[in-house]
Amino acid sequence: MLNISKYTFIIFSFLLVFSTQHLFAQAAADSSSTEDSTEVKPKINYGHQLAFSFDLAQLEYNNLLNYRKGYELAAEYYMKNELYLVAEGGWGSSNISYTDLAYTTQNNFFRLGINRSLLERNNLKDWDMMFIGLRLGVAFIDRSPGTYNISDTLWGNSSGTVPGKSLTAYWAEVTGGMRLELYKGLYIGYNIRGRFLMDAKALKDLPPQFIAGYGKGDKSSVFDFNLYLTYGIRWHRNKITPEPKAKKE
Amino acid sequence: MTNKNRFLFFVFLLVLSSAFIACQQNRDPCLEPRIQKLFMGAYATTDTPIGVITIISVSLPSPVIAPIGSNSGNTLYYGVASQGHTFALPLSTVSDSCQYFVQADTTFAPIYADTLSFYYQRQLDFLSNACGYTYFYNLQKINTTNHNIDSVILENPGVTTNVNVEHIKVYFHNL
Repeated sequence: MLNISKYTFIIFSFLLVFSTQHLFAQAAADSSSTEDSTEVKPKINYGHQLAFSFDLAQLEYNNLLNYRKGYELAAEYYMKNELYLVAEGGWGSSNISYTDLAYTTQNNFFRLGINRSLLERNNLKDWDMMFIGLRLGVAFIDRSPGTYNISDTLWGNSSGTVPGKSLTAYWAEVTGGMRLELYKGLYIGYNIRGRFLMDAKALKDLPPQFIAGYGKGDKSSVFDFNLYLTYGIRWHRNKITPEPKAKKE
Repeated sequence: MTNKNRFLFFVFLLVLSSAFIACQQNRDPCLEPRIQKLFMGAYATTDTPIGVITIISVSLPSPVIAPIGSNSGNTLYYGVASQGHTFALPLSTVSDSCQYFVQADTTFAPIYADTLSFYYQRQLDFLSNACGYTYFYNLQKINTTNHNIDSVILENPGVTTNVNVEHIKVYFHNL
């Protein structure tokens, strides 16, 4: 039942973003058709932007949580109609050394998806964003053999080893956030993410406490936060292309 | 939105989100039992005036229940009245069998003490990174002496984290 709800939610999220896109396109078409009778609205070309981001929040996480290390990078390309194609990746490791459980993991990850900006631009140079987005993520994990100790004061302690394993984790995520331009292409922004693990059973023997790019591997849904420092490269920007005039009949 | 409003909104949400990072901890607290217990229900057989035997759950008046051959030698229950009729017995994590000494009342003569022997399969199970591993048990056989215990019925063989299950019913006489 939980899985059905989860997948329903993911599918619903995809439909929501695409229907929003369709709605905006429809609204734009409607307004342009009504305005056709009065004036020809020029088509604004905001040009292209390729932006690269580094996640500062991971440094804070690494400092705060001594069992994990993670690093995240992102690249984003502005397509059109306030849609951005996003590719994210990174790597990380964890070192779990409790008295009753010990193992290490290493993994890298990739996420691919889209962002849609919901913020109306103030002017042609305005690239600030408030956005929602969707991602699909995959992580390739190497987990060392795990040692466990079951403490039992009545009958005696028992311990053993679980063999190491290579694991693959897939997830979908919904994200939203904001980004502001500080100075000529230099941005700061954050993402809040809700992630939903697609095949939690694949990890159930000993799910990693930390999967870089996802979070806690023993939870089927997690929240996360990124603080991105971003630099955007723009070209062919700020051109206004007038619509071709309609032929008089 | 003006640029000033955008900035203020950004700072507000940034502070809110930073609180999320600050709430993270190295290891979540373990909220599940690491050692699973078998739950034993105590019952008594009673003769009625018309000769019908009824079965009732009973609170043992002053029970003594202790593991036999354990490391600690601790007695789990000793002479505590109003224990209810259910007793939680940890099964051994190092062996596929274990025994318990059971006496319904401390005042009973030693001849009325019994031994319950449990035979089971252990299954290693991962609880969480917060709790580590535990053993679940699949009960296969229970033997008992019959000094004060009439009989034992295995109701639910699976001993897991579920604490709402009565695994065995133990029927006493002479209560």
